[in-house]
Amino acid sequence: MKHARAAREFLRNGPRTDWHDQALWYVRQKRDLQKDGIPDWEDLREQASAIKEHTLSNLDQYLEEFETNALRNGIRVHWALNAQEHNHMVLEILQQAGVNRLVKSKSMLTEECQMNPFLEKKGIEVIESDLGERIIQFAEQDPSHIVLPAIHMKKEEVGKLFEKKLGTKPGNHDPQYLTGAARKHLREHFLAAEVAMTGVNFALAESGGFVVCTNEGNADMGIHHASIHIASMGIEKVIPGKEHLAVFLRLLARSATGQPVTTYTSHFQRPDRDKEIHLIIVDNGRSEHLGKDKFWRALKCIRCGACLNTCPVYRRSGGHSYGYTIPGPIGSILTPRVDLKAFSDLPYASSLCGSCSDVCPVKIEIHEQLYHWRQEVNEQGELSRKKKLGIRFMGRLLARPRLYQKSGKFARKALRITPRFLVYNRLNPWGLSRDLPEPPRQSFQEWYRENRNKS
Amino acid sequence: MSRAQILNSISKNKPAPVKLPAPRKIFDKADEDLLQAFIDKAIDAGSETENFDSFEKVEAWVKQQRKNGKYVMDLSMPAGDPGMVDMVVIRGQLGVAENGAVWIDDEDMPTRKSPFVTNHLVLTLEKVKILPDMHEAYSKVDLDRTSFGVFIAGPSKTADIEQSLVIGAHGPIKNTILLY
Repeated sequence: MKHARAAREFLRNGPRTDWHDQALWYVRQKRDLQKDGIPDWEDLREQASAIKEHTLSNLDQYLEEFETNALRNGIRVHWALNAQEHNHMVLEILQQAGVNRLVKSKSMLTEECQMNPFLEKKGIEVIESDLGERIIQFAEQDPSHIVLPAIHMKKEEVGKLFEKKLGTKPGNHDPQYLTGAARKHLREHFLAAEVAMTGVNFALAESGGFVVCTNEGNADMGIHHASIHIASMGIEKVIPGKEHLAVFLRLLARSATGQPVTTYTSHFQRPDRDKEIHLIIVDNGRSEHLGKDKFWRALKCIRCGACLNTCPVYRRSGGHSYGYTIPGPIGSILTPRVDLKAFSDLPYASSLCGSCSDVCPVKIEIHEQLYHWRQEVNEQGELSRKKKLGIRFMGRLLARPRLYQKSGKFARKALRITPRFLVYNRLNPWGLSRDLPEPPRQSFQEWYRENRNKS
Repeated sequence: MSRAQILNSISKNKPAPVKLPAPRKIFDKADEDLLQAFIDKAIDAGSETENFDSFEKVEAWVKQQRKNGKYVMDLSMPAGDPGMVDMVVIRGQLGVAENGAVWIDDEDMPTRKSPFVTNHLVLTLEKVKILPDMHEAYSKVDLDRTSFGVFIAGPSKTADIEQSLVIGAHGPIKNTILLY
């Protein structure tokens, strides 16, 4: 019920909920326009899905091939079993370089590892350089979306925040002006960067390099000024080679923001003269996830966020209501693997409408996995008592056709004559924000019996 | 060792092998006007384009900029701070019609940071080097011979504040493609 409670808070402000809903729907529509311009879109999705499934089913070989070629290219490769090990590795690289400032670009993996709070406790200053990430870092919040981290914030709020943090003019919340202020502020950090960090969108086994996609150019600004580049990737980011990269790059930005491609698609193959590239390959539960028959395909995800933008529940409950780094439909099938007990309600934060699966560029059957996780949650005894009782009751009712028909008849009459407060009260949480449709006079069965002989 | 532990765990848990799909067939797009498609997409991405008949005319354009007092950084004059110069000129190796992106390799850059830190990036591109899509682009790019390479589609941009598009997030505010 944690998600439901948080969503209720989010919904208290009606106009704001509508604004959030529409902002994301706008991104979804931009995606549709792009998709319609590619005649072989469905073929591309098939390809992307099959390439990922092939790679995941041979993941150990591909990672070893990638490592061999990356080492040959002069990239230093590290392996981290979990978040702690990852964070310590980053700290160690910083300490060995004698640097206490890290300029970083967006990485959902470092969010997952809770790296920033760890480094800050050790006296490292972390500067997020993606505008959205910098905004929420200033606001001391978590990202509410994996591609649009500050989509939940109004420009007036960003303006207020920048007044305090960057000394912008009070009351000026023009996005152009605010972005200009952030540009000036972050440029100082880029020029002074000694160690820069990025995520990884794709790693190529055959050439031993990796690809980072941004629109702002912030990843490259940091990296090329710094003498050390640290990049972190989950084990599932590797793909065979460049011909497969083409398939994913055609899908990624179109699905994410409705652009044909991001402004910058940077390929890091070898470090620049006198510079270092450190690449950290992180497991953090992924290899175990790979062994889950019904759920391993979730690892195909390329983090485009299309399933968030289309989800009727996400759009109306906001990213923070999910309580995890990756919210929305994809988050709800990744989080139960992280902690089934803590996130047992997330597979229920869905109407199972299937829109997420329809827009997914790598064809993850998200809504089916949500359904399977619900069963897993129940089997592990993590279903709330209220839900369990309700489901048991409905199960018995639906298994007895006579009883079902009788109760239907009774309910159709009763609902007509029962005073409102008896139907809509605290015992009926479903009815808190919803009304039942007017009960029909007869059931379909009754109607059919009456009408089947008429011609 | 974490490396061994991770690889062991993967080999224990990985699903039954799935076949790699056959390479996507490349459709014949010879009849498409690639140049016009490229220009349209480049403009959509926020780039400006200029048309020339020959490379000499492109060189003349650059010379004229210098004559007009602009500080132009390129491979012939790589000295200076790319963040302070008026423009950085880099040779594009190929263009992609479906998205208006241009591929540049670091052997053509004054420095790796130069295309990002300058306020005005100028890319030169031979019209015959325009390819229909990313599949064909990657069939031409040789990553084994690349140290650092990047597809650039337009100036640096962001929409992180209320989805309002702002040009010039951190890098170039202007991106010009000189076609010849």
